[in-house]
Amino acid sequence: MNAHVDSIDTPTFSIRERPSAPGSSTVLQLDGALDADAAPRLSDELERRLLAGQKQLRLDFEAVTFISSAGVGSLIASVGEFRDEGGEIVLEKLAPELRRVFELLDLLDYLTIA
Amino acid sequence: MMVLDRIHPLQARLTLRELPVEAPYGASTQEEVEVLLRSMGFYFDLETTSPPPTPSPHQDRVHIVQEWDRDGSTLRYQATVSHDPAAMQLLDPFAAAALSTYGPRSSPVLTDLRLAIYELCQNILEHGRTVRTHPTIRISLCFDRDSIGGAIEDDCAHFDPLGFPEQDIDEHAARRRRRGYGLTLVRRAVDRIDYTAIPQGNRIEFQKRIPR
Repeated sequence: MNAHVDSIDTPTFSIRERPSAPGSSTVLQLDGALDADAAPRLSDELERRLLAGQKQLRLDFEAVTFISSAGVGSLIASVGEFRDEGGEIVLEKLAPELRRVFELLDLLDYLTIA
Repeated sequence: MMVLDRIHPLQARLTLRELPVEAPYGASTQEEVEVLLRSMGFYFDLETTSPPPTPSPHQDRVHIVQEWDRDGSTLRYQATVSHDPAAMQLLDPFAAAALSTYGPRSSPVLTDLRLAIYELCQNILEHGRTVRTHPTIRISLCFDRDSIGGAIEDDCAHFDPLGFPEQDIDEHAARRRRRGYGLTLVRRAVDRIDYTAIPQGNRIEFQKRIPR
């Protein structure tokens, strides 16, 4: 398995891997605004993990304060790429205002939301 | 009037204009200023009384002016930013203002409005750069009982972002596209949106109804 970083920090957005039980899905804890600045970083990290063989990921949105269209695009593309490889990305702890963004775009059914 | 004895109107205006983004909106000093201006029926025009904000390499600042109609029925907020901002930073003061007027920050109306403003500003910052390195964006919001209206103006070359047809989001998802969701999001987040080419640039007006 390729090496990967455990966390990426930017001034307004961070991605951290949360400890999980052996054999269970990796959980990435997102924190901050998933906007145009943060979206490429999330895409890069998800791609890196997919290439490393981590095909089952859970994204924890509890600390995410905002999602822009760039964040939506990053997630939608990554979800599709994981599915192409037989994997899945599960979104969890989506606040109502974040869920609203996907609702406006009729994308709730496309996503797997825990 | 007691308040008038303590704060001169000019001083009050400076307080409003120099409010840093990071400062908690609705701080006691500002509330006092608001009360003062409202009680006076104070009305002023940003375009003629406010100098352009000075860019700072270290701290983005948003200049906010509030004004009330003389009958006190409509509250307007206006902000100008003159260098490359994180557009997000413009939005919290507006959300906070709406919060105090209409209720919880998480209401769908505010969520939609925040999205629309962010996406429109981001669009200007991305595409306006080709003409002006640092476009100036002026945002106005007007709150009344039934709706929140807004206008976003820039000083970039004429460009109508609404001239493009709404994107097929299902196709975008199927093709793993990472971009092209923004204007669809804007169109769906507001009830009405119009574009006008103005002499100095572009103007987009939008309106969001407040459900009763």
